Amino acid sequence: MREMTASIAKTLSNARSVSNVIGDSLAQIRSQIDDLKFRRDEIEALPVAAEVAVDRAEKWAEREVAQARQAAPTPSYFSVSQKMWAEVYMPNCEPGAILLAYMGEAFVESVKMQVKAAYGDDRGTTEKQRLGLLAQNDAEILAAELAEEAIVRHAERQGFKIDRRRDADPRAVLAHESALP
Amino acid sequence: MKSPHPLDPGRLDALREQRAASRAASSAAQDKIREIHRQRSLVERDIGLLWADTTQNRRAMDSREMNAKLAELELKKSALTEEMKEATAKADPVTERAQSIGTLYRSCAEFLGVDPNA
Repeated sequence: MREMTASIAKTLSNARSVSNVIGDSLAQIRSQIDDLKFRRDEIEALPVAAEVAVDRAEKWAEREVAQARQAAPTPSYFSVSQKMWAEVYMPNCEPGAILLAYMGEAFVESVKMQVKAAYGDDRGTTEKQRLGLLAQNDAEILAAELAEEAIVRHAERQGFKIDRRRDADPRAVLAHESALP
Repeated sequence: MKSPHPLDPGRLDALREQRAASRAASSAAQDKIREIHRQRSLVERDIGLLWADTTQNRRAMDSREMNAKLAELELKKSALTEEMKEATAKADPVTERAQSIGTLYRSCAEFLGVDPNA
């Protein structure tokens, strides 16, 4: 009887340690998956290439200038009829539009220079580089999820009930045994 | 989305079984809550009837007897309320698990081009 009790205690102890190992491994791999997914968001948020940023800024500035030139098409917009002169100078159009209409080219150049200065020596990330980084990150996430699935299936074979994550990758959950590490 | 490694469509069957089991567990937990709720409603009805009964029955009933009866019913109601809290606390993770496996099963079935509701 004493031997049987000791045996049961040992089995329970082993089961607990197996359970702990599985739990620790899962926690570790899931944390790694979270980190990798966070890294994906970081990659997506990387600044675009400097030339793309300058191009976008230039197009925006040119649009603004074109709109301003519709609002203030001729220099006469600086002035008003003599009858209208009062104690203060009041042009026909708001000053921002007048400034953009008549100093548009300088404004566009200035915007481009500011964007270039903001980038400094950093050239940003080209679309090709971004796609490459995302593909690498995808591969790392999938590898981690396959490792996670391997742990879950191992646990299930040991008789432990482990819940899969609801957002687990179907490619990992449905993977053939041969694909698991 | 394509898979760069071989898949085992049979894994979907295992997931389906897990989904069925977790749905059954969730359903049983909800049934239990409903049953407790039903019992408590009956007790509340009895309490209401006792208070509303201005007929001969109440007049015939000694006030001490009435208070004792009310106290007994209130006690029963409290016990059922407590039981319902416990059942709800137990049911919540079970329901959460069922929803989780349901979501995972759906995404896996759709990935394989299988109707998830079949």
